[in-house]
Amino acid sequence: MTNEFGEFREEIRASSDLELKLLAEGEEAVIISLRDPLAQRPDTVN
Amino acid sequence: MQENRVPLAESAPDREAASESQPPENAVRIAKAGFAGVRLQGKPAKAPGLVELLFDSFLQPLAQGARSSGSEIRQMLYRADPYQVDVHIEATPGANKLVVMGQLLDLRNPDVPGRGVPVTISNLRATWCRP
Repeated sequence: MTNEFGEFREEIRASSDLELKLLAEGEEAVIISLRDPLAQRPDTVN
Repeated sequence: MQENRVPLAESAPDREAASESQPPENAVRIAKAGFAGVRLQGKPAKAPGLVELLFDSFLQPLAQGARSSGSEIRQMLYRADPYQVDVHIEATPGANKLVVMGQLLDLRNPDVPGRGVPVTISNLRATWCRP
């Protein structure tokens, strides 16, 4: 649940198929697929 | 009565007249530009439920000379009507965990933050949500 400033915070286990779901009253759920959010960026060189 | 038709392909004066009746190219371009920002009445700007990525820190170019960058933090900004969602994801050092933080802005009422909206973070196996 977002706080009075519209903020949310959660600590979760790292995963490759994360989804963020917003459930507003009277609205359809908004689902944002985050996948593996910290997977290596495409332009990095190791 | 005999018809005296001239084939179009052979009618050079007709072709010239047709090309003269066309507006100049620059005038067409200016007219089109005038309509570029106009939305047709009753037509929504985009399909409802569409999630649009407005910003992604991973899509920004690396600093000059950087060979590698720690992918420990990512910031994204989404537009998912009626919300604009700022998402900040950070890896917890030494643990296989992520901290997901964010803020909602209700675009229908931008002066008031999107408070009291249930947010769920899940994968296919588990769901995390703040009571």
